[in-house]
This record gives sequence, structure tokens and C-alpha cells, in this order.
Amino acid sequence: MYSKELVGASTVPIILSILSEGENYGYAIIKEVKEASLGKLEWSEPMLYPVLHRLDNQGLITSSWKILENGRKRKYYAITPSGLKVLSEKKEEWLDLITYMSQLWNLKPTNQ
Amino acid sequence: MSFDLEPSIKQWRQKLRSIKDFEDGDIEELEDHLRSKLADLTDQGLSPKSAFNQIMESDYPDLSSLGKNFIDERKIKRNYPTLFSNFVKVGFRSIHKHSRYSLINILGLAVGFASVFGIVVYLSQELSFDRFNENGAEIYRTNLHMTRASGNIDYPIIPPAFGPELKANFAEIKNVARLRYAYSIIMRHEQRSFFEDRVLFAEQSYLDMFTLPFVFGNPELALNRPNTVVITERIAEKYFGTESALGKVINYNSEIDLEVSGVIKNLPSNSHLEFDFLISFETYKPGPGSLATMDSWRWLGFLTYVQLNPQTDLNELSRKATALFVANNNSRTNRTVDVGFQPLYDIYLGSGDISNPQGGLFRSNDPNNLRSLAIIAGLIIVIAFFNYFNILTALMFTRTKEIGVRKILGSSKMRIVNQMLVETCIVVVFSSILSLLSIWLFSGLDYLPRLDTTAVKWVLVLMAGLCLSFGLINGLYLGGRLASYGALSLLQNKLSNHTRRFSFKKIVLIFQYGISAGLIMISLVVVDQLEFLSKKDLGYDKDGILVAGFRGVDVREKQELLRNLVAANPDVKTVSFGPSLDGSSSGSPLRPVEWPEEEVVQTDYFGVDYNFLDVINLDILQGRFFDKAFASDSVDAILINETLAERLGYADPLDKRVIFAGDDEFKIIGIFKDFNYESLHKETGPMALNLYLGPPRSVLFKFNATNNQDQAIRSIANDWAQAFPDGDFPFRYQILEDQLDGLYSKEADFALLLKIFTSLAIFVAILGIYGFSAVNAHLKIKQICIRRVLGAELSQISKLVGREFLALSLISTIAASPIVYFLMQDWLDGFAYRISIEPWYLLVALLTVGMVTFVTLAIQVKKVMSERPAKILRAE
Repeated sequence: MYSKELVGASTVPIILSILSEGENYGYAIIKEVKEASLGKLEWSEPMLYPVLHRLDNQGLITSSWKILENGRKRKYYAITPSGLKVLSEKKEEWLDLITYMSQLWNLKPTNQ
Repeated sequence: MSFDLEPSIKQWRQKLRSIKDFEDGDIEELEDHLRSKLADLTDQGLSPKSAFNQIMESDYPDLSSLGKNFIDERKIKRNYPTLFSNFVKVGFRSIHKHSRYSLINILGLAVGFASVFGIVVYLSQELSFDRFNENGAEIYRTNLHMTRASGNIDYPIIPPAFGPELKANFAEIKNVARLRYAYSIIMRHEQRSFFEDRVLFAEQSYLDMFTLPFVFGNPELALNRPNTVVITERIAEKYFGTESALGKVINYNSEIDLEVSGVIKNLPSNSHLEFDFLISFETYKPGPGSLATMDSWRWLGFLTYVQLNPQTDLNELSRKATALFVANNNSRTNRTVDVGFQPLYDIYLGSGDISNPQGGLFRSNDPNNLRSLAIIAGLIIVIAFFNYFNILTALMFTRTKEIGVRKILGSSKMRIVNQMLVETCIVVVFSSILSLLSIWLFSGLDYLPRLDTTAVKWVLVLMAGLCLSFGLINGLYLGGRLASYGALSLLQNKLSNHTRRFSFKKIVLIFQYGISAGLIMISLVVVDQLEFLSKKDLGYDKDGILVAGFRGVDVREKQELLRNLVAANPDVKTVSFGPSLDGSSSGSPLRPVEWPEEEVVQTDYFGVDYNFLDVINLDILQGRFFDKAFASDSVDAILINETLAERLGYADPLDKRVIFAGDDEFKIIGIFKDFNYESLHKETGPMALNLYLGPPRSVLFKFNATNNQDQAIRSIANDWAQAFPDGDFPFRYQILEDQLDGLYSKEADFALLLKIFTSLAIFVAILGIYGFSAVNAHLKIKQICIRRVLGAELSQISKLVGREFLALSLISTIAASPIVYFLMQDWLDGFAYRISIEPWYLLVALLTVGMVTFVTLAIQVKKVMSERPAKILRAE
């Protein structure tokens, strides 16, 4: 598990990245994050949904209700153009940071 | 104990709901999440019970703190209402703090808006004439257009036989209604009698075609037999009070008893025809001695309305109707006639070329007047806008500290813009509500029509538009500018306030001054021209003359009695029976006996008696007036005016013989100086006087001493009562001068409206100048104080504050003058007798604008000077 600060700082970039691949809903996002991080990032719903709602309010993502085949309702989120813009800014920040850290510790990118 | 999933989920849902921090959809979203996770866990082999418990344990350990996360993220959204109320609070505080400028702003905007709303209400009435008729789009008035050698005339009245033939011959005409004016007549019910002006004879079809809501009676039968009358509610109350009018009898001119067959609602104020009585058409008989009959094809005397099938080809119908008319009319005179059908909705504003003597046939208005008012409304709006803009921009520099502090405390640009937006909108909305109230108060008074739904609709639309544009433009501009400055420069009040030579501010000021000065000059010209008309020497003595009309009643048997009574009256010098001098006259072709028959001079004439000369004091240039000593005068004498004498071309016209009024021969016994018997819109044409001893139209009394006019009127009323003792012929009179003023009532009405709105525009402009210069003086206060400390004189300081304004005001006044010149020259061209536009109009405007600016500035400077400079400097 990562520290609380690191989780907090990475939440928005991760959500935006996942949504930039296509629209998605909360549970699937949590599952995807857990699998991709090999279980190191495990978000809870009280933590994820408020963030999604905030991004929605800020206009970075949009939400819409869909009716499933079994009749249940599910809320889907999709990224907006301004969301994409913010994502590219965040990406740059993180890449800069990673490059700098790598230089500091003389690490070389692994080419596996 | 077996585990039930659904009740557990339901329980969980209820717990969440009780927290109340969730919004719609939050819980549903969480439930979907819960169910998806449950499905995954049971797929992995867990029982529903342990799956549910595991999720509750890991994800919802503390339900009460769960909602807080949701709320926190929503903070920004939830804050908007408080933010807005804060804006409003600060807005009101700032309005209160700058209460003087706020008052100027609100007053200026309110007066500006009110003038515009007033004009809109007026225009909305003028543009809605006759629209209350449901079939209005299909109704047309039949007009005759006559082309003669002497000129063109359009008549709205046609011969009585023509109407029924139109309907009989043309399938596209669904219905025809003939109307005949009864002019002034005496109506009596039991012992009460009144003169009534608004009386029409109308066919039953008129009720079928037009929309006249009946209160009592049957609209389908009310006018279909002789001796019935339909009256308005107003008349029903006047004659019968609270009693039912239906079936009651009203006596017409002591001749006919009319049965009231219907009561209709009072006519709306936007009807081109005005009446209170509609008498059934079959009741109408041409007057005794009249040569014309109801099957005449020549007697132009009947308003005739037709209702056409939709998609009628008007040109084609006109052509066919003209052919029908020409075939039946077979006139000898040299003229061509065209029959035209004028749409009902066009009558009020589109009848400028149609003969309508004294406006007696129908109401009309000149669309140019409406256009002028609309332009004035536009100008007032522009002035009001610039005022507000100028004062706000100037005020901005007094608020830099406040905004600077806001910025430092983290206000975003957006919030500052919003703050300004809220402030301007408060002022604008408040002003518009004030102006609406004043319009509502004043509506229904003399010149402002009653508010109806269309007017209210227009005013509200306009108000919304004005509020939006004024509030938005000013708020956004101001907010945008303030937001663009850095916090530090705001706090130190170091804004770029350098005055460029041609700044936007100056252009706005030039506009404002120019419009005000232009309106001042226009009002001067209009008022002067009207003054000129009423003061102009008409060529006869119009003072101390009283006119009483006989309204078609034959008074010959009482004539001598009245003449003798008045002759004994010391207050009256002379009495003359004849023309009414109300601007109307009769016309007939005239030619010297030796001229060929087709060459004639169209001549207006008055039939007068022997005393006419003594009453109006005409100048007889050659020959003499009618005289009882010459027996032949009553047979064939005629006097002509200078213009006619010139047209006839005689070296010495006296005793020459002319053919006049049909085939009669007259001898010219005198020539009189031209006098203006018509409206001064027209130049005096060829004119003749002949002796006329038939039933007179009116009687003219010339007072002995004009200084005791009231006494004279009372004694004449006494004589009148003796001559007409039954009381069935009331004495109704007019002073000639008032009657003549009536010829220019349209111009006078327009001039009054112009004066009202010009004064309002000027008031708004002055307010603007005052406010703007006040703020500017305030901004220069530091400079002024330092100068004062260094010993500057009042005059030097005035120069500092005022020079720029004074120069701008004078430049813009001069710039506006050529536009005014061309506009007013065009207006004056409508008068045959008119003033010329003199340089002194410009001078007066210059002085007025200069004075207003000067006084305003003087007040400002005095205020600044009265403060202690040290105190102000310390505060800065």
C-alpha cells in the first residue's frame, strides 16, 4: 500500500487516464485500478465517488445514467475535452517528476 | 438463521438515507456499486451473507462520516447562493455609500426608461388601430381617386348607389356596409336634450362585418329596420342612468323618434371611426331641398366598407369597379376616376393624401410623427446609457481599494466581474421598476393612452431587454477592467487614467451633448413655427368674434328675430349669418364669359350676407362690398380676391362678367385682399364671395368691447334663449381664435409631446453631465487641494475642472446644428407659411448647454472648495 499523500495526489490523473480510454463506471474503475496496480492501490467507494462528483462539477468529466439489461441503473462517467487538457498537464508533471527522481537515484528505465 | 440479501440492502439504504448528506442519485450509485461487488465476491465462492458482511466491514465501517466526504466535494456548488447574497449585500452597501451618484444613476435611468416606455405605450396604441376587428384583414374602405386638371383628390366617400351595386356585381365582395355622418344633431329623451357629435347612420351589414360587442340587444337584427338606434354604454348611462336602455325612445332633431335596439360597449380608443350612436340606415333621408337621392351616382357622401374574400386580386377588382363606376356616373367634367380599396388597418396611418376636412370623417395620424417619437425614444436611451456608463466608469476609480483588498484575499477575476454585474443589475432593475410605476400612474391621462395587454407586453419585453443590455454591458465592462488590474496597482490607485486626445470617454460626451443640444434646437423651431402660425396676420380681423353653428338645422324663420335681438344688445357690434370660418369652404369652377368652356379656374367661395365685411374687416382693394342699396347685388354680384383677379388676367376686373356655380352669370363688383380662410399648410388660392340668403351654416357675432368678453357671451346666450325659447336648440359656440388654433391641433399635440420628451431627454442629459463632472472633480480632489494649499484662486481651479467640459459641450452643439437644420427644413416645407431657421437657435442652444455645464461645474467646485484641504490630503 502507498502512503495516503501519494494516493491522494495520484487519484485524479489515474481516473482521467482510465476515462480517456472510454466511458466507465465507479466499481469497474476501482477494479481496474486494483488489478493494474497489482493490488497496491485499493480505492474505497466513499473515497472515489466524491472525487468523481467533483470532477463532474468542474466539467472535466460528464456523467449519465444508463439502464442495464436487468433493469438496474448505473452511472457512467466520460472524459470531456477540458478533462483531456488537464490530463495532459498532469501527465507532463508526473513524467517530469519521474525523470527527475530517476536522475537522482541513477535509475534507468527498465526495458522489459 | 438464514440470510436474506434484499432486506439487508434495504436496511443499508435506509441508514444511508438517514444521513441526509447525500444528493439524489448518490445512494443509487453506491447501491449499484455494492451489488456489482457482491456479484463478484459470490462468483469467487463466498456466500451472500459473508460477502455482504465483508463489504460492510471494509468499505462502510463508519456510516456517519461517510456522507461528509460527499459534502466536502460539493462545497463549491453549495456556496453559490451565499456568494450571491453576499454580492447583493455588498452591492447595496456600495449603492448606499455612493448615495449621491446612485441617486443620479437611478433617477437618470428611471426618467430615461419612463420616457421610452411612455413612447412605446403611445406607439403601441397608434400602430394597433382597428386591429380589434376580427375580420379586419378582409375589410377595405372604398375610395375614389379623381384626377383633374386642377390637381388630384382622393375621397373616402362615394355615391350611395355605388355600394349595393358593388356587392351585386362582384362575387369576391362578401359584404358591403354604407355609413353616413349625421354631424351635430340634437338628441332628446323626455325633457333632456344634448348636442351629439358622434352620430352615424349605418347599415345592418356594418354590425355583421365589424367587431362591436353587444351588451344588450340582438346584433343580427338591431339595424335592419327604420327608426332604430344602437348606442354605446356611455350614452345609455347619460340618457337613462341605471334604467335599461333597450326599447326606450330617443328623439332625433325633433324629427324622428328612434327606438334603442341595442347597447354596445364603448368603442376602443384605437378605432379610426368614432361614434356613440348608430342609427339604422333606412332612417336616413336626404335633407329637404337636397337635389340628390339615394340612387345617385354622383353624390360623394357615403363611407363604404367592403369585406372581400381572401385571395381577392385587388388590382383586378379595382379595375372592374372603376369600369362599373364610370359606366353609371357619366360625368361631363374633364376628369378621370379610379376606384381604390384601402385596407382597414392602413386607414389610420395611411390616409395622408385622402380628403378628410377638419378630420371630421375619420381619425388619422402622420406616420412621420410616430417615426420622430421613435427616434427621440432611441436618443433618450442612448443618452441614459452613456450617462450611466460614464458615471460608472468614473466611479470605478473611487473603488480601487475595495477591489484591491478583495483580490489580495483571493477573489478570482470571475468573482469581481460577478460582483460588478450584480451591482449594475440592482441599479438597472430598480430604475426600471420605478419607471414602470410612473408609467402605470400616468397612463390614461391626456397623452398617454390606457395600458392594454399589447402595450404591457411591449413594455415588459423592452424592460427585460434594457435591463439585460444595460446591466450586462456595464457590469461586464467595468468588472472586466477592474479584474484586469493587478492587486497592487489597485491598492496604490495607480491606474492608467491618462487622458488621450480622442478617448472613448470624450466621444461619448460629445454624443451626449450633441443629442441634447439638437433636441433643444428642434423644440425651439417647432414651438416658434406654431407661435408664428397663431400670430400670423390672416388678412382679416379675427379678434373678438364668436361662432355658433346651426348644424344643418334650418333657422331662417328665427334668423331675423335673432338679428333684431342682438342689434339691441350693447355688447355686440355686428352679427353676420354665413360661413363658419373653420377652415372649410365650398369650391366651384369659375371662368370669364369670353373664355372657352373647358378653361376654368377652380375657385373656393363663401356665401355671405351684407354684414360679413363689418365682422371680419376685409380690405376691399377695388370696387365695393355687397350693399342693400343695389338691388341687383342679390342676383348676380360677386367679389373676388387678388389671386383670382390675377389669374383672370383683366387689367380692370370691375364689372366684368363670369360664369360661376353652375351656369349662372355674375358681375364682379369688387376685389378684396387675400385672406387665409384655410389652414396655413396651404397657400391662399383663388377665392370669391357671393351673397347668400338661404339657410345659414353659422352665425358670427362681433363683440363691441373685447375686454368684456364673458359679459358679451352671457348676453348673447340670453338673446339666443329668447330666439329659441323651447330650449331644444342649445347655444353652443366657439371663440374664433380657439377654432383657428384647432386647425393646427395635430401640430400642437405633436409639439406638446415633443416638448415633454425633449425636456425629459435634456433633464437626463443634465443629470449625466452633473454626475460625471462630480465624479471627475472628486477624482481631481488631491490635485485641487494641493493647488489650493499653494494658493490657487477659485477661477484657476474652475478652469482646471471645467475647461474640458465647456469646450466639449460647445463643439458638440455646433456639430449637431447642420443635422437639425436639414431635419427641420424638411418639416417646415410642409407649411405654406413658415419661419426661416435663424442662427439664433444655435446661439440659444449654445448658451443653454454652456450655462448648464458651467452651473454644474460651479456647484462641484464650490463643494470641493468648502472642504478643508489638509483633511482631504491626509485622508488620501
